[in-house]
Amino acid sequence: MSTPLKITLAIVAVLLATFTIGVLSGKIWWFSEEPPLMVIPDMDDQFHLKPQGEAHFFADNRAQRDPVEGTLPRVGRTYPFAMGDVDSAEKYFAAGNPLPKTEYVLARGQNRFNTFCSPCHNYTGTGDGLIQKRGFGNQETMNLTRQQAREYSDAKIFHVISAGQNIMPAYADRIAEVDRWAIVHYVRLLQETPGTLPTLGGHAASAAAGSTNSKRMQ
Amino acid sequence: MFSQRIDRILKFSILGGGAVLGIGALVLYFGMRNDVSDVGYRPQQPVPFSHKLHVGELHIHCQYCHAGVEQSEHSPIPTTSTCMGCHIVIKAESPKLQLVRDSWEKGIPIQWRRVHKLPDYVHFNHSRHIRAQIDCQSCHGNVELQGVIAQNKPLSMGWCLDCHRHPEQRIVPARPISGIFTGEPLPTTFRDHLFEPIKSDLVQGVAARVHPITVPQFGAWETAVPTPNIAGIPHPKLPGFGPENCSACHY
Repeated sequence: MSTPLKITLAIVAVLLATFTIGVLSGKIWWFSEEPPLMVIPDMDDQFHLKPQGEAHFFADNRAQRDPVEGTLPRVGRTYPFAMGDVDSAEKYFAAGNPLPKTEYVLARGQNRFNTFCSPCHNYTGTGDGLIQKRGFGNQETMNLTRQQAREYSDAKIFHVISAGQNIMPAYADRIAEVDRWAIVHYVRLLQETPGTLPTLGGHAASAAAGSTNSKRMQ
Repeated sequence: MFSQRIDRILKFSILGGGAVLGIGALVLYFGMRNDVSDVGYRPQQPVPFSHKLHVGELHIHCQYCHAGVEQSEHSPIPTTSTCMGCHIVIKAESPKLQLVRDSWEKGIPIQWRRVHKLPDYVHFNHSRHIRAQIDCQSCHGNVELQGVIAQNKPLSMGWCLDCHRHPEQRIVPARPISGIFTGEPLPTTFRDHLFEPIKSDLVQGVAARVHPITVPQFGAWETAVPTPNIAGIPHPKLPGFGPENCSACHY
């Protein structure tokens, strides 16, 4: 064999070996639409129903069945009033917010507000969130700090969060009842100082940097 | 004994067979490892949903759609009504959302393809990790940068244990985008106060037969993990870190 051929072969061999070792050690990888290869399936897939899974036993292939009529949730309760039924809600929750307005409740309210409300209402509650800017509703009616919204009772705010209003969807299925009351407290805080982001002691700071986490790590 | 030709053939076949077997064993061994075979699994989803757009650009927190992850072992895939909350107005005519609209009108769930899958003999509890303020990114990678969601981490047992043993080196602390609550544990009085009206409701109402509600729903408190004892000697691990005993995940 000639020398250039030998050199070429050696380079090819080294590259091939590097690629093989890289793939086998997981350092070289690529995206694949195929499900992962299962050489030995072990007992990875067992015969049971998984949450939100598939079950061909049922005609609609849903493993998760709808609860029968009259089922009560084990934790919490379903919100009883329909969208727009403010009067019933105000009568039912006439006692107002059952939560004390402590710093902890406000921090929790801020966390839930930032998660569920800020996309549209913005972090300050002024109604110019990023989703609103994409063309969802108009800022005027979504501004939580406007005079009309300030005059809302706690029960009404709670009702709007739970059952929705106009194009706003209901959040009763996604935010727990306590958390909704915590949000009501936080909305009140936002209304006190419109347009500014309230600072909530250590809780708000930790929400930004995860400082409690680093404390736990030591 | 053999002619020279047969001898050469025999030698080569033995060597070649050995090499094939050896390489086969290597491929089998490494190919079965999750970090080789599972990382990079990126199935085509029925709806071209982009986390890069929704999380990265529009800053929708993880928990806005995956709500319930604080309370549940399973992190729920959002319902169609969650999608339609916004898309009933925004991009209401988009052909990419045709399947979502069909699902909404007919009440048929969208068949999303599962990306992250653990074996059925291991339990991973999302709520415990969320309450421990571990960011989603620790296990799911940079979801906010991905147009199509892919598996980023091996999700193997060794990988889990790496983090349970040395969390300080691997965990991403809670970021605001994940919506993880970083407050202190919930005071007991707070819980009792909250659930009193609900309990009385249930007792008076239709549901007198049903068990009274005792589990609070607030979701953001954490219970301290007791310091493990091995034969009466306290384990040197700090309480609150991930457990290492088999039955913590295999039950």
